[in-house]
Amino acid sequence: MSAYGPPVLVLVLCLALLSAPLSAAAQGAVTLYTSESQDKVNEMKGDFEKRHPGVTLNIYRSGTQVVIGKLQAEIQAGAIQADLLWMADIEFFAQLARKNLLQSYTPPEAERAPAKFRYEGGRYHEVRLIFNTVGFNTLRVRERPTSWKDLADARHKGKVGMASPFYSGAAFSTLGTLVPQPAFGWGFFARLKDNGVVVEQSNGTVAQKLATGEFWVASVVDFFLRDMKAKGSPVDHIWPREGAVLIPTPIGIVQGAKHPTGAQAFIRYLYSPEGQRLFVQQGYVPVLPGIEGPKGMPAEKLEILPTDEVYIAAHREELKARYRELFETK
Amino acid sequence: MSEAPAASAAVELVAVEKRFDGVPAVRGVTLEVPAGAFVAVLGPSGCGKTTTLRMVAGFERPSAGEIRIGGATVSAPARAIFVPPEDRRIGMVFQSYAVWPHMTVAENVGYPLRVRRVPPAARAARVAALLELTRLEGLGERYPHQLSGGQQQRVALARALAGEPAVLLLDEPLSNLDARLRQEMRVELKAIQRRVGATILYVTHDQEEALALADRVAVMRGGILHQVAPPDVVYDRPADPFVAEFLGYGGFIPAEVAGPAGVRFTGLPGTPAVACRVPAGAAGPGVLAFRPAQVELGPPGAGLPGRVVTRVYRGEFFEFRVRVGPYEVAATGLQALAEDAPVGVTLRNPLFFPSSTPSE
Amino acid sequence: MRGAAARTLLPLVPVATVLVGAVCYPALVLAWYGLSRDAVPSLANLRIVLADPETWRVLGNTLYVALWTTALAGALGVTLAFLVARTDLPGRRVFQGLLVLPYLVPPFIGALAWLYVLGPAGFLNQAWMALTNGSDPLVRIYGAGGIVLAMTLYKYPIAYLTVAAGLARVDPALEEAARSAGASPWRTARDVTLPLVLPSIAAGLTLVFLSAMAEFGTPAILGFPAKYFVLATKIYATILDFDRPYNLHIAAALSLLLALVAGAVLALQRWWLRDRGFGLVTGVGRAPVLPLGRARPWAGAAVALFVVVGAGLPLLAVLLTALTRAYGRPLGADNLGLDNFGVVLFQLPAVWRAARNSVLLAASAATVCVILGLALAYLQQRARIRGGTALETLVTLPFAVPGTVLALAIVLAFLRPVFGLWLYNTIWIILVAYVARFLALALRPVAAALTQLHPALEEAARASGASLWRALADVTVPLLRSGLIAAWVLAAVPALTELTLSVILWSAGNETIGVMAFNLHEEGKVLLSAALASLIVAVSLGAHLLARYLAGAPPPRDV
Repeated sequence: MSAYGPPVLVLVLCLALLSAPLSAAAQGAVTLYTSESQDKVNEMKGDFEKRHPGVTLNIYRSGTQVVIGKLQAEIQAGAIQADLLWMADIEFFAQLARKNLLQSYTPPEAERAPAKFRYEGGRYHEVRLIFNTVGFNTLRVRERPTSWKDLADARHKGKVGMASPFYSGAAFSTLGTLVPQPAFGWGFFARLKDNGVVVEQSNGTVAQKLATGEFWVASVVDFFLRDMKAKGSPVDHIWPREGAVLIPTPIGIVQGAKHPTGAQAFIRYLYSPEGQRLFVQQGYVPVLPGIEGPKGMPAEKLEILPTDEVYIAAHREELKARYRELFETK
Repeated sequence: MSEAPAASAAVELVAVEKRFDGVPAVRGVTLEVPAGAFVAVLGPSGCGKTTTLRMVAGFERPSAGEIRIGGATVSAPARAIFVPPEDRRIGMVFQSYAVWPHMTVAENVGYPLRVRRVPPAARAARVAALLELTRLEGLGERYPHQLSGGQQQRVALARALAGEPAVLLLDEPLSNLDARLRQEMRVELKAIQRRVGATILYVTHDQEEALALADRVAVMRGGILHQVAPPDVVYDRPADPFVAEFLGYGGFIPAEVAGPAGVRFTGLPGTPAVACRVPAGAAGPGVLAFRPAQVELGPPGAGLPGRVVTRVYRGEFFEFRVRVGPYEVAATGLQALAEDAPVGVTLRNPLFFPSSTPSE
Repeated sequence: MRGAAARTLLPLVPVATVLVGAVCYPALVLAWYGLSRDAVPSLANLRIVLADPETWRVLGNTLYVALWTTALAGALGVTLAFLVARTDLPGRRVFQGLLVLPYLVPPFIGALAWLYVLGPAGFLNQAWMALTNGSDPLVRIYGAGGIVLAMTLYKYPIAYLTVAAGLARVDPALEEAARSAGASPWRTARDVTLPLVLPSIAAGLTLVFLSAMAEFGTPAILGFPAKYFVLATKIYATILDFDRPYNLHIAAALSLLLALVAGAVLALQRWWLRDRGFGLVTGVGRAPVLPLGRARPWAGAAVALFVVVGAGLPLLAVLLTALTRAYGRPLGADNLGLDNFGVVLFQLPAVWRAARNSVLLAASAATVCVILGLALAYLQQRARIRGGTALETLVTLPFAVPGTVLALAIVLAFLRPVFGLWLYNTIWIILVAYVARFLALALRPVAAALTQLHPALEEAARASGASLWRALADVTVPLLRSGLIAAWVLAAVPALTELTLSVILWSAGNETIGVMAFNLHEEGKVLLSAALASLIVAVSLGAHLLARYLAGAPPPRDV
């Protein structure tokens, strides 16, 4: 029977090791569902775990819609795995709040940030600011753009990019913010289509193509460009004069989370000066006053286009349907 | 059916050698196959007989020597001559028959003609004739897997004959058949050869087969030809102990020359000399070889003293093993001698091979 | 005697459990989901699917891409097999090893590789744009064309290996007989070799077709950005489209459609091959060699060029992309570095976790598959139970059916706890899927090895007094060692870099290394994804070499 020793041993070992995560989870690993960048959120996890030994962070990362879908499936099955949610879809958070699925929690550090970033009594928070704005390739575009309308400029025909609202929460927020604005509306997007706009899956891809010059201008998330610009890519962005679109990327604790203490510790960390400084290092705009902004911020004054959450909530399906109609049927 | 023999063609091998990675498999083989003759190359497995056949066919290139078919040189490495198999006028029957499973019998047999661009009508006529010759009439449209082993064998034969080859090469074609079928096929093969006048080079390890079929037998071992002679000569007067043993001789009892007409057993001092044919000028030690039928068992005292060790009933006769001094010999006889019975052993016309006979 | 008979059938228990649990039950649940709504039988899902013009367009895309890939990969595979196995192509021994290289690259990485070469930001287009000072790419790889290109170049080894194996089985005497009948070597190849190898060619083409139809990774990477969907990616998108009512049901209905097409093709192949029972085995002796004559150096150069461009170039592109520091900057020494590798290896703990998951999953799945495969082979050959073909079908089904469909079926089956077992969102559900998927791969070498083992060997042990289990343990299994190792390797290597199943089944902490690379790419972190992809390819190549060393010979691929 000695010939059986090794294979059986291997199998038992493997199965034992596979079960290990289960035991780890039982001992206080906080589960975070997020659409944050994999490498950035891992950096935060590293920093956080260093400052809070004894708490481990388990991360499930995918596109916003995917994460929402997974969560909804879990809600349906009555077995939510997540402790923390952090995604670029504020309307979804509102829904969850309505269904009483979010825990209220406002750490002392949060009191120093502007009140408008604490949503619904602290059920979810904005811990750093991301904007959707106009980016451009510095080698191809000599004149610095100034407005969203530059995306519809015929000089850039066929060289305009944007992300898909079906995959990217930022893109969906942009859609939902510009459409109800009288200065833009569906007409703006129709003009974009006429100008040959190319829709990519994610902002990352849009940024990449902006860098190589396949796109000359794009509607894209700001920190991607600051990242690449810092590494030497020929890209830059502006704050449009009409205003940049704030992309809410709230974070909240799930009601009935299995690891509430750990979850709260993470939120405290994000609001802390150390956490905020890490954000700045990563290229994000902080929420706490008194912390210097990231390198590479545009020179213009930052105007913020108001986002009508109520409108988006009410017209979610219609927004998707009309977008599909405009961009996906040939 | 009358078939003109394929010209006055012969096959000649001159000092043919074949080395595989430096190891010689065939050494200095010189052999002539006259037109219309049936020559069998006989030997144990691994002796090089198949390699020799494949060199004649063109599937192996000789390392040295020359091969001529029908007077034309087809292989001569020294002169950088090599004619590929398809350009030699040969017909080959393989041990596994190699009948193509995706073609009908008629298509198989007609293939050599198709390759030579014989028009369909003539082709069909010839195929019909060949099928008749090999007793396969009516099976033309069948597929090989629908035929028995013996029938497939005949398809292979008919196909080999189709192109009117200068020589027919057969590589142990009957070894996959059962005993009775083998007997039948032997008779048929001989009949077909005589009718068609084909020249045949036949490789086998079965000495009975070689003796039955061939006009001339070439006995081979270790890549060397030991004897080339008509069957009766090989049978009655094998050239050396190896050929003798292969042809069924036993004994190989050490003896030494006692005179021009006899030898004395080395291990049995005091026994009278045994009468046998002594090669001219032979002297000194050697071995005595004889077939079981040449061993006569008589009453004790009539010949060398011996004792029956075992007896096997073979129907028409008995097979004995008899102990004579330190030796044990095989003998046959009609008398039902009991085991352990004393007998007198006489050898009738044994063969003597002096030790100087180059063979071992 | 009943006790003995029962003991003989004991292996049936674990086999039946796994097959029922991992194959039958999920298949039924899938069918149920497709054919019901709110727990009531309904044809609404099918109606929606069949009435939607999008479905037909996607089906058309799937067939279009699969047929083109089959034609091109088939032509390549057959030609190369003939050149390498039957001619005097220069360097053919070297080519034998190199030509199967693309097979070792996980398909989605193959797609990534071509993206790096021909993609919008790829080297070719960058060079072109720099040359012409324009910003229009020369080649657009997204869409059907790119998908066909990538799939052809990574699937031709399937056809190549199948045909090469078929050529090896042709009795050389059949070809020599033709030569002795007066046919030139090329005539022989045409009249004798080709017809005899036709069944292998058909088998190879079918395998390529099924593989192309089932593929997820390549159409995901090269199709999504151009909104070009095939059935597998459409099902994936539907699964994730939670805003759509009854999306899982619709995905199930689409899966049934895909499974139907695949099943039809498989049945067709089985039926067509059944009539061609050419007894081909027993090929002993050297295969004849066809001289290429004057074309010889050209052929050699052509094949070498093909290997360099088809296999070497994309892998080089992956490496170069992995070494690139920033996009948009010209390719130069100052833009190259190991930064991305640094991030992937040292700043993303998820990568190590994913690697660990993949290794453990692959090893466990392979071990389970080999044990089950042994039990199955034994049941089929020694115990000779009835319903052998039914078993065979159950084992082959999860392998022949597209991976996306299998994953969906398993998700649906285990969404709620079964017998108190909670599998969803754990790593175990991935293990179940892997076992179901790769069992067929492991069964083949084990079954083949068992047929070559004469029952008399076990019977001798029984006659010496050993019980059945003892005889198996002491005689059968040790003698099957190399077959078991081959089976283990055959299952473990693809499981290691698998994507199609795990992309649907993974959950927090349970990523596989394939999912990791895919997610990084989808996120737009192309450079990081390339670094991870390079590492995966290196591991895959290394695992393959190790496997060859352990098993002694490249395992044959066949369904």
